[in-house]
Amino acid sequence: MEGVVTYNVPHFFSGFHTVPWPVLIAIYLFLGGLSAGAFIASVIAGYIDREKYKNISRVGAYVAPLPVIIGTGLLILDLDRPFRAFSLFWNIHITSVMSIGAWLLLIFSILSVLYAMIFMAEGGKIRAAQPLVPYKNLIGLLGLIGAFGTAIYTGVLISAVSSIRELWSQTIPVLFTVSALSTGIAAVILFMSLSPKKDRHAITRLGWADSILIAIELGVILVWIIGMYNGTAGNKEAIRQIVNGAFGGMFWVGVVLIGLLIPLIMEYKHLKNAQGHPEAGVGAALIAALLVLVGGMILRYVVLMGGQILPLT
Amino acid sequence: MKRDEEHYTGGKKGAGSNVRYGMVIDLRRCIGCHSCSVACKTEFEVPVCRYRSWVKYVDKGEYPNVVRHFLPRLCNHCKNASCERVCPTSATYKREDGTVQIDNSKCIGCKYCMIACPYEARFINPVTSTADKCSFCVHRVDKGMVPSCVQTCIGRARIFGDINDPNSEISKYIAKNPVKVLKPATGNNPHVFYIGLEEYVESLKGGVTSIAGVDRETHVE
Repeated sequence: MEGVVTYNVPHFFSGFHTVPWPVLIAIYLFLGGLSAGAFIASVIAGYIDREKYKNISRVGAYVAPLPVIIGTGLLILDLDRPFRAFSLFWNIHITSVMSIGAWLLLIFSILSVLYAMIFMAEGGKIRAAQPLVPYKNLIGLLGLIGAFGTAIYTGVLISAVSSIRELWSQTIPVLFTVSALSTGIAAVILFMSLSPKKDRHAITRLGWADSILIAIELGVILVWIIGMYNGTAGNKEAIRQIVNGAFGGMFWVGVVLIGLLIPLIMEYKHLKNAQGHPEAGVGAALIAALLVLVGGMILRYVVLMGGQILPLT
Repeated sequence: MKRDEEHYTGGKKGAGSNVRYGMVIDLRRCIGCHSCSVACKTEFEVPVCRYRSWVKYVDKGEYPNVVRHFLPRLCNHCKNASCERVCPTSATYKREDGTVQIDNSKCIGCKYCMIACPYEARFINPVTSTADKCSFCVHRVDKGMVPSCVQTCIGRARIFGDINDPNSEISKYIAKNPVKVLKPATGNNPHVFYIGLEEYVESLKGGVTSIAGVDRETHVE
């Protein structure tokens, strides 16, 4: 009888017991990237045209703080000694990506809160934050650096051990960064198209940006899969689990179809409608944004869980 | 008698920068009795379903031509330990003698080391809620004894000692026998060496009837 080699395949609900890093970490990777992407969209929109895209800057700044703070909370919740979490800030180990990332998360969270407060102060909402307003550009720039760091960190965190988990190649930081920008912009589109006063011009420009990012992401995924199949035997086996094995359906349907291809088509529809019809609806953009967010979450889950399937020794 | 004495004292006493502890596991002598696992559990009061040292086995063939291969496992005390590299709080550290140790008071239980370890050597100890693994029994070794699994091994399949000392039993054993390590491609440079590993690895290829034994955690459902 030919035996079947079985893998320790984690599932959504059993994930808490069978793999070191459960689904909580995947949610954090998604939320951290989303915050960073929204913050980057906010600051860069301001750099391009402060007046024209002031709604993008404002909504981006408001979206950014909460997800990264929730994500950090999930990270602490996953610790087996959560009350020791703060020791990360003084027991520094420079070779550990997580040790640097803890500081990065702290700094970015604070900056994103301050940045949101500045926008509220400008709108006359928080009086106490008025003294911060002159420092808007500085906080925006520092936050931009922190946001890029946070977006890259979500990918580097797991690819830093790529020599062991064959799947976590050097492509993952690139993939996660592009996905972070894409999901961040999608979150901004979502809130802008849900708000009663829709800035259709800004939504169209964001739709363009997101379409380009989705196309890049598709390219990166293609490069990643080809690279893995041309790698070592371990690489091949690991990517087989993703594209053809336990997570195959989730990857092709959840990530590629729902998260990338359908949003790309919806965005195309939205951009085509918007051409010459400034009053056209934003329904397609809203659906595309929602699907991008769902796909981004599934991507983190598939890579994290797929990467933790242990080959037999 | 001299051989016995050396075997049970681990070659050199105490730790120093010129000492590099290692272990050879001679798979030709392993009978899969699991007494190493039991000795380790007793030594450290390792909680139920968790193991610092364990034995994996592979069955191959069909009755009556059945072969079972054993693979005793433990922390490999790597030279380039990926667990030590990724630990964010420096709770995992390397002693001068090359063994990888955990400072329980610093561990925050982030499990990054468990992800990084290619040998599945680590687990979260449910009693202390911190990372745990084989320590090469340094508390015994520092007092001139050998690790409990070495002491108890009935086939004397395990040889422990200083691989920097050319006169130690382990160095002589490595000189005389071809040794291999698990997953050399990871570049971790482990210091648990196996003799007869080829046969085990070969046994994994095709026609495996069953693979059993415990990983870092087993679950009683």
